[in-house]
Amino acid sequence: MIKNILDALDQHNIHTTTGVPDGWLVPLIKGLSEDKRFDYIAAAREEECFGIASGIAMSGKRSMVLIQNSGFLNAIGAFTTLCQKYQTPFVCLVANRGGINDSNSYDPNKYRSFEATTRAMSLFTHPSSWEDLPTNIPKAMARSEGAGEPAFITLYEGLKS
Amino acid sequence: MKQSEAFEILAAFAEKHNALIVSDIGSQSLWLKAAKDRPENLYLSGPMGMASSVALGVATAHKDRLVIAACGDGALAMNMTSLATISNTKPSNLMVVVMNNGIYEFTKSLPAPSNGVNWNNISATYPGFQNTVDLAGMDGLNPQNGPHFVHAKIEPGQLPPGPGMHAIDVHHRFKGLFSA
Repeated sequence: MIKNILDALDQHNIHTTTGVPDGWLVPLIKGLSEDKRFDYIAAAREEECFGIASGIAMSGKRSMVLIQNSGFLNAIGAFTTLCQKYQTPFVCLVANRGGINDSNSYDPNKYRSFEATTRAMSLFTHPSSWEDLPTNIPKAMARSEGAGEPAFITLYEGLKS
Repeated sequence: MKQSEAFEILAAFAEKHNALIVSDIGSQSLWLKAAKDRPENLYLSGPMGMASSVALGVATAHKDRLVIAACGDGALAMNMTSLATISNTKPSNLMVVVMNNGIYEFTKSLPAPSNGVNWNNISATYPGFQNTVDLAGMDGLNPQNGPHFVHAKIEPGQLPPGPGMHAIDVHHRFKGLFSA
């Protein structure tokens, strides 16, 4: 599964990624970190991810951000004043915690606020299974470049082993 | 030293090394433009404190070019975690410069909490930085052996001339440098 995602990223020239980890994203982050085809920049905070991805986009290259839904909520200011204002395209893969697959008491508010905020901001979000990521990430990248804005892919569960 | 003079020194250094510069909102972007407007300048005019992160992205995308982040002290204080990320990533082609006047120049010169930072000791706190120098020490650095941190102590009270450039124009002019 992870190999298929990495191969798809490679084939579509998405060689730089950055993120703040979520438990669901760990297998993919490990894959990116250990594969010499890719640079994975471990950021301390999600605003940085949006800055790094925007710098890459304005350098004419592709990138992907990996964060949890609460991380997007942390970074809305940078998203609006940088990514939207400068129209920087990249893919943002979001672990959308707090939905049907989460029983943690601390996750539902993240889900509610992420859903409400992205809808209110009219942001492009597309839910995806892990199996569909090798096709959905390249499509989201193309959509992002065409629209001149980041494209969000949301995961609703962790990777089943 | 006035901020205008500091940017004249920085712009000349950047031109000498064919460097790309990402500048922070307001004061830094406008003074950089006044010192020397080049397509290699990526002016940020919306997100406060993001120059260091955007510059890290640019440096990762173009490892053969020196990339300079020109930050305000108040702005960089809003994104201090970026120094941890840069220290951990260790991009050898990145230089972070802080223009330190201790105030928010555009916000009626209110004192900035960055006065609580010892900018002279950044490479001790964030050991991935190779060194911390002042503006006079910049010429002694090996630009390809970074990341470096430069502390430029400047005088407060000098508002920059306008106008700036539109964000979309900045984006596409900069990206045009890398078109085939």
